[in-house]
Amino acid sequence: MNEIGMTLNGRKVQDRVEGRCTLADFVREQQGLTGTHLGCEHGVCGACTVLMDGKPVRSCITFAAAADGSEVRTIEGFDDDKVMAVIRRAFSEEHGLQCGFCTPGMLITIRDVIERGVATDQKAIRVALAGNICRCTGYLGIVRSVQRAVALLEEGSQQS
Amino acid sequence: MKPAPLIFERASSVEQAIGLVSECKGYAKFLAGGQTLGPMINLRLAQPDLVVDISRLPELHGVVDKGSHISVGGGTLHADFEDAVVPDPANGLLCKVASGIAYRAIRNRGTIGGSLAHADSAAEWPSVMMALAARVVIHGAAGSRTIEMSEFIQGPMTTVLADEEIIVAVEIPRASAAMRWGFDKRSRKVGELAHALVVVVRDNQKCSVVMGATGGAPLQLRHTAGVLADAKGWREGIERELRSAYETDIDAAQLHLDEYDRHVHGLAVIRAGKEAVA
Ligand SMILES: Cc1cc2nc3c(=O)[nH]c(=O)nc-3n(C[C@H](O)[C@H](O)[C@H](O)COP(=O)(O)OP(=O)(O)OC[C@H]3O[C@@H](n4cnc5c(N)ncnc54)[C@H](O)[C@@H]3O)c2cc1C
Ligand code: FES
Ligand code: FES
Repeated sequence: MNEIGMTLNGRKVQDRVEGRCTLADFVREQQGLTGTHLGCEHGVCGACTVLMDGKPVRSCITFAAAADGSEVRTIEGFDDDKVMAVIRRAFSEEHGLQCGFCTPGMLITIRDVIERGVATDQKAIRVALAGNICRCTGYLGIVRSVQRAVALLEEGSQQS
Repeated sequence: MKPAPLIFERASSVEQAIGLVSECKGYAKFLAGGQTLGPMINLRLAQPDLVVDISRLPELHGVVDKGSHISVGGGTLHADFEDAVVPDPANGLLCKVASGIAYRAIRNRGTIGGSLAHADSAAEWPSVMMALAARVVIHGAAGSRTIEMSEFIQGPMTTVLADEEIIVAVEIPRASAAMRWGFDKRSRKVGELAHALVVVVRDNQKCSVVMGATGGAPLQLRHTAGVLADAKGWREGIERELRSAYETDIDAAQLHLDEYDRHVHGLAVIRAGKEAVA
């Protein structure tokens, strides 16, 4: 067992984990944060994407013990995040989701894509989202959601 | 799937990490980004008894400019090359290559040292580092050594590394301002490992062409490089010459490619060659 500590969605947590425990299983099973979804468990589908020290990572192939001392943010940790609020609104307006399984990883990835300024056109958005698999929407609504979110954020920044 | 039980230890220095792996009675593995080892452990293709986390070792991070080359820590992230946090001594080649490795979330954890140590021929860094004539700086129980990339990889996922040896740095030669490169990766989907991979580096009439995704070690295409070294612009007929030189290289290496693979790799040769010459 490993003794670990991290800041999880702004809250300091301290816990004991098995060496083999992944960050995904830690947040889901030991912290009760089931918004982080597990699809493939080998890095391919993107459903488990969380922020670690501000950057998106795959929580299924990051050991919980490797995240000791880090700042981790799961989909539950964006309630007062302005950019995420806009992306959520765009997802709702443009049908960016259906069953919602891919959505937590999608939202966290998209927020990073927008913040890094790489969502420049449709092709760039598709390339940037290639590591997040959605089995429902066919991606059209997701790509439109990103474009809408970018437009809404630009409008917002012009008004303020 | 879930990993089999294992012991996880975070090392606090390279020396301690080497000691932990040397002294382990069972199967021990270094863990850097875990972006290759993690999937293997989850799928139980790898079942180490001990995993030694080297991802935060200060000795594996940072860049030193040594004039003729830069030395980058073995723990340098793919994303650091992509964002040019690490200066690019190869006129933009490293940045271009890094941005096509896997997906951003994986590039945020995966390292150049892990990629070279894993030595998957379908991965970018082994071929690119070979084409740039980089050197690998290794520390182990018996001391340290520096190995040319051309000798580092011995076969499919096989390197000269002993179990307890760590890649602490990669020395990447500084190219001249006139150096031109070409790079082509073919895969069905963005972010997948390569189906075909070719990198061309032309500097001062010298040319190196390396083909990855061979299933074995990356392959130097010497005849192909000969054609590109002399080329002055993308003139008529050069494509035919390249194709024939490439066929000669493949036959000389006794590489068994089916018709389709031969074609796709050939296409990558032409595209990378054109980019480096045109
Ligand atoms: C979905 C997916 C897609 C991918 N696509 C690509 C791709 O397109 N191109 C590509 O190149 N890669 C791809 N990868 C692999 C990725 O680039 C890995 O980051 C990289 O291959 C391994 O680096 P790591 O730091 O994660 O190593 P780890 O997984 O931690 O380790 C890999 C191996 O190297 C050893 N090791 C690690 N660091 C060192 C060191 N410093 N010294 C000695 N041994 C060491 C470990 O013991 C282990 O055997 C992909 C991975 C995934 C999950
Ligand atoms: S569950 Fe982590 S990438 Fe699929
Ligand atoms: S909405 Fe169902 S998987 Fe994307």
